[in-house]
Amino acid sequence: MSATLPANSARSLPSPGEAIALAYRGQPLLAGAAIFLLLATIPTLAALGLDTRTLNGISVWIKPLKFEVSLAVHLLSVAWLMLFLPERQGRLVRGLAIAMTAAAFFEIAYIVLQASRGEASHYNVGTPIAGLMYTLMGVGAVVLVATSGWIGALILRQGDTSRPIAFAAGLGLVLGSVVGGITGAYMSSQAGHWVGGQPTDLGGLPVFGWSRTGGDLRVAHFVGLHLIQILPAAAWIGGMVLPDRLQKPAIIAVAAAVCLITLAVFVQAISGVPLLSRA
Amino acid sequence: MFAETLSPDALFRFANLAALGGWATLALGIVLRSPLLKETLAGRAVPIGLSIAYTAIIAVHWWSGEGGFSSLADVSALFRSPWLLLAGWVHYLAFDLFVGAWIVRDAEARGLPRALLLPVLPLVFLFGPAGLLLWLGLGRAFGARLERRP
Repeated sequence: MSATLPANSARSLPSPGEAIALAYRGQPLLAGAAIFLLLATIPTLAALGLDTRTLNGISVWIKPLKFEVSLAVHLLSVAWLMLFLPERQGRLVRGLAIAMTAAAFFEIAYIVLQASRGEASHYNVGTPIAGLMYTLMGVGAVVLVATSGWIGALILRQGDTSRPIAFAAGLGLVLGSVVGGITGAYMSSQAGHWVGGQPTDLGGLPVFGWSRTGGDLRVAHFVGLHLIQILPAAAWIGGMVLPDRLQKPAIIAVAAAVCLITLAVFVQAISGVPLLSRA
Repeated sequence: MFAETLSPDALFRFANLAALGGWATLALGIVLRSPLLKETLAGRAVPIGLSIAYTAIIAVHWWSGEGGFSSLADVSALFRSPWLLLAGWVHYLAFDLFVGAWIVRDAEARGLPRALLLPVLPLVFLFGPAGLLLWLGLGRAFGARLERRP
């Protein structure tokens, strides 16, 4: 069964060291890949400090940095959530983890290569090879969300979903993959992620870089994908403050709310309206 | 970031200082028999720092350089870029120190006397592969007699 978490895990948060150890227990390959991506931010930061080249108004190294962090967060999250799968993981689960890791490494490798050359990776169809690579990045992204959703479905089917947190883990992975996948697919089918406004990250929202002069399709993709983290977090909080019978309904309510928020920021973006316009 | 003000010359001086500090730390670590100094700092931390600098320089400046690895003329063209010349120098610094620290570990693992390191490490510091050759030669020639295996 999925009793790999300590019994008191519903209340006490593990230390960072314990958290990493738990991720390795959940899925060693995904956890290792995530730690590697976090380590990769160190030379990337060094390159950021050395480079004067910009793309769309910001350093060429911001994008590798963002993808290293976000892919690490994703892989680490999936590794943790896989603690809710039955303890003996079969070939299918290992295959999904291998495919997810390979896709993540392919994406980051091409993003870093293009940053190093000072060229765009996403939306770059300037040459036949760049166009082919952009298509392959799309394939990689589909593999990432498909494997995540699949693992979510396995948690819902094989995990101990009588525990609200396990239910939230499975539902978050399935919904996050579907909603994140749809918003990502729409975004990549456009000419760029900006809708109206100035096509630059300069002056965008701090850290995220989302446009403050026009619509930005990255917002909905971000919110939708984070169902993967939001639902288990909501279940954890719910476990502390809600009676048992309300826990699953609360998780479903939070899921519905986040889906609605995703829809709202998506409509906002395709209408060319920034999430937060400049004051 | 600080990219606007950072010149290859400034980075060269900084890398040299770091390497020199690494070698001094290695020597001190041998004298004091301190694993922290000779292994963690000189054998790991400084080579890692230099390798990060090398990787960043290559990632930023490789594509703007001319030439390549396939002929001496190509390599010469490569090193006409001050940044790639700096990268080549940092490559020496990182690898020489790493090899120096490895030789110290090798000597310890085989129980060889520390005095053997005295001619070897300065040669690695100045002329990396010649020092490595000297160590491998000394190890082959005297190793079997001197080794104190537990």
